[in-house]
Amino acid sequence: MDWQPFLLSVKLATLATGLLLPLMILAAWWISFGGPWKVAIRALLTLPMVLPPTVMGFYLLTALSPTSFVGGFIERVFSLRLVFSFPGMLIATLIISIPFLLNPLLSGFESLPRSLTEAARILGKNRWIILGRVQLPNMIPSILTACVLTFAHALGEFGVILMIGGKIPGKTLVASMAVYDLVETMDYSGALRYSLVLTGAAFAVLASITYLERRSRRTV
Amino acid sequence: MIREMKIEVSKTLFTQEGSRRLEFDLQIKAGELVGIFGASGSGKTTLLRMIAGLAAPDEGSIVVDGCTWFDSIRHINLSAESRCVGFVFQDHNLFPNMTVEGNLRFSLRHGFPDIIEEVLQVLGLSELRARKPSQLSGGQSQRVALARTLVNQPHLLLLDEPFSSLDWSLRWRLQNDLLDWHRRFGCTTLLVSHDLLELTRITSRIIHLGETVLNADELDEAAVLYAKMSQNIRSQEHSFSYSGVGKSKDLTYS
Repeated sequence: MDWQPFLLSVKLATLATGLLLPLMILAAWWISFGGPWKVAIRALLTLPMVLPPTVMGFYLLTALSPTSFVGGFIERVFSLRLVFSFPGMLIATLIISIPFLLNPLLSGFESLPRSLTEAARILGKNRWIILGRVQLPNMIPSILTACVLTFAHALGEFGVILMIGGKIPGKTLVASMAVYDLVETMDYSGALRYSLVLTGAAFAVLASITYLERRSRRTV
Repeated sequence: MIREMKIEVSKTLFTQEGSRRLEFDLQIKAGELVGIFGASGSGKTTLLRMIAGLAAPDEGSIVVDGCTWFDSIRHINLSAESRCVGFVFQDHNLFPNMTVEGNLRFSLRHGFPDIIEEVLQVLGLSELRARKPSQLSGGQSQRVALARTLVNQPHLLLLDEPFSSLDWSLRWRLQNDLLDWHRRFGCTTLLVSHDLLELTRITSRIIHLGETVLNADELDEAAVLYAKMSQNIRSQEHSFSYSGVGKSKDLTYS
């Protein structure tokens, strides 16, 4: 069995989760302060979760292609073609993963009693100290949930990254696409092996995160 | 220490019974321990929140030692972070991720860690220093909440029903702790409570929020009871003044 698609899937999911987490913590924190514009911004950032993958894939393919402003600019400046490449797939994964991180984090911020923040404010602590010392340590279960949802979703993502990355073996062929390829070629036993590994990996991630989440709830 | 504080604020309160207007006009002198008394929904907590900077009055001003904390006409509203008050919340609000000692260390505004040991000792918390708030009883949590505020030796201490969830003996002990601390540092203090007996025991002045005014008999009863019970509290001669809507009364008992 070729492990390359799995390694690529794990690399993609890990990078997407790791790169997006700090940005989404800041975004969720900012949105949690409230305000009329933030409702619209929250809805906009949640769109990738409800739009069909083909629509998202089409938007991204158009935006990242060398003939577009963004894709053309990146190709000229960094000599990097985003379509049918790993960086392009990563950008697509980052964008479609936003709601999977943002929503649990927002719930985390919103579920913290406002009085905790007020107690820290009375003690003269600024917003950054309150974020780092009070809010984030008390919403670890939400952070873990956000990470596992994003990682698991990125691991199994198919539609959008197929449109952006194609399925070039060794370059952009991830595990979910490999299953699709094997089914197309009627290699059901191969598809089953890949599917079982993907299922096992997803289960292991979910179980370990659930364990960590329970432990963090006990220690807080 | 705060030399003088002038509060003249009004705010519309929205309660289950409808909206009502809270109007408050008070001058507090250095080192006073003032009680705020009133029924649920009378605006006691809102008043403390306005003084602390956690809620803005609709109109009025708050001036402390000549420094304007709030002025609705001049659009001045000093942030809660800058007011340097101590606030003990009704539900304690300890930081769950920190130990007792961690809560105190985090609270310290200035670098005098020796005070932490002193406060832990005075409030009998030394043995609980490594515990998380979830491992504390209600009374212990309350003491930690008080300790967390006292480590900064605030010029103004705001206490929102600090003893309401405690049993009688613990309440008595913490009242004594508070009085000891007040005698020692002379920190100007506002204590909110719906327990008139508690207020007559430890405060020197009671402000009554609400529409009903206590009659002299009710005050007499409370004050005499505590004057008898609290022989070592404040002084042998227990005195306080009471002001309610349209009524003011100074009482002295021995």
